[in-house]
Amino acid sequence: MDAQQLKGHLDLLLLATLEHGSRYGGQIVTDVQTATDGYFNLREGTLYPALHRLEKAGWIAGEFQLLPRGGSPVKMYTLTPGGREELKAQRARYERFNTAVRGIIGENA
Amino acid sequence: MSGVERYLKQATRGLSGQARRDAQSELRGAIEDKIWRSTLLGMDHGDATRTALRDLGSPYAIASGLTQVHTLPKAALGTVLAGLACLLGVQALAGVPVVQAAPDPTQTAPLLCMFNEAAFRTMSAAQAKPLRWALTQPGGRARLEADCWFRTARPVNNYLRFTDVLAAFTAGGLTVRAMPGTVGLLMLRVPGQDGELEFNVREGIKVIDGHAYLSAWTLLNTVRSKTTLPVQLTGDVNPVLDFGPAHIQLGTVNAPVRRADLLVGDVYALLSSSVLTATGDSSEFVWNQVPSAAETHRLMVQVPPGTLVVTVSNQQYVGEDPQPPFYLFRLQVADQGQVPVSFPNQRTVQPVTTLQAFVTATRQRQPALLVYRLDPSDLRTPKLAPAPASSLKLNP
Repeated sequence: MDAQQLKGHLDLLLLATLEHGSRYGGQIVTDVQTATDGYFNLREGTLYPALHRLEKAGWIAGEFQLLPRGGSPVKMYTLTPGGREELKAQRARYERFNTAVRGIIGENA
Repeated sequence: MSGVERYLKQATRGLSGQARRDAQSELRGAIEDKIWRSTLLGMDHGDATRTALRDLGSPYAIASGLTQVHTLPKAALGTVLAGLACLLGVQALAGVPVVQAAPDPTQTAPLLCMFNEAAFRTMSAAQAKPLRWALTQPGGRARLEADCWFRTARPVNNYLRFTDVLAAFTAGGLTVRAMPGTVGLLMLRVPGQDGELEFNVREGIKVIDGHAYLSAWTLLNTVRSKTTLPVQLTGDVNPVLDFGPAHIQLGTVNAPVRRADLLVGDVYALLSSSVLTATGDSSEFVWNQVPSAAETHRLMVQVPPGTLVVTVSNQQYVGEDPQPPFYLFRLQVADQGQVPVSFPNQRTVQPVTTLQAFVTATRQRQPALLVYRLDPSDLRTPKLAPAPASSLKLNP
């Protein structure tokens, strides 16, 4: 997977992963990998700065939670109402882009 | 300090106060989670820890990403960048493609190596106790600081005045178009290359003294990942960056930029991956580009003048230092076939030219120095080449 291609859609991927419930970093990496059959391999070096950026933008909110297995708490991220709006907008932008590209390259025969 | 704690410290370097404590807690939780999952699969704790840290990747990459998110005052940046479009026109007329440079103000050793109660409160009691005790000893603070500074890559002038960079692009015949409503996203048209390049340098921008500065690494990495043209950096001090018709001098007499400091990240990437492949070991590499007062040896190496020489020392592996070991490397320009190296307390040091010989020496606790040349002829694909083995000699 081209890292630049991933970078361009990282925010959308992260917001979409949180759409159906709270997740912490490790779960997000696994979810994205599973949902895309390993096509996207998120590096945590990119993930945590990106999550912090989305949190600063007010689109997601982080909260430390203890897990049943014990040990140190993990930071659980939840989509905020503002984040839901942003996800809708980014999704629409992506769809427009996708349709435009498809118009040029055509459908897969 | 355990490997995990050292990793956390490095990965959050540049943050302070609550932001640092939170980021450390988050990463600690993430690491423990990975370790726990691996031990569930039958891996022993030591292997699981090493695997977890390797998966997380370079702590410096995390630190750099987090620092940019947390130390960039958004409002200030907006104000600083607001006038860029007008500045572009004005500076293009002046047409002087010289770029002023400055060090990253958050990376100075005095800020990172603070041993005081505020810092101790961010640690666990077990970590803070020996440090508090060490401070009560004669010369204790100086020793702690010296050790911390030694492990800290010193700040160099690797931030470039953003308006200067843009003016230099324009002066070189590139067309720069800022994308409205974005910060640090530009479209560049480069003569000789088809189409417009998306030049996204948002992550590398910092406000220093009220001006926007761009990390020279971000500039270099963005240019070489985007262009199909060869990218060259020529000259040891205040080097000239060339790609297409762009011809940009980085640095000035008052705040010089050294080419070796800009390419040291490439060496890190090349070395850490080759050592991982050779040993399967998640050894840590620390670079220190600032000459130390304790340079004890001179390495003689027969290379053409101006050759960039990489030296990797295993002194932290073979010494009696109780700290967790790491490899220390430096990238320097050979001056009359010599580069200075530091190997305190060692009379006999073996210079070697293969990774295998270096690993063997380290396992036998023999002081060794691994020597490479860096071939920067096209920075899209920098390469390490062996140094001519027969010419290597270390003089005390």
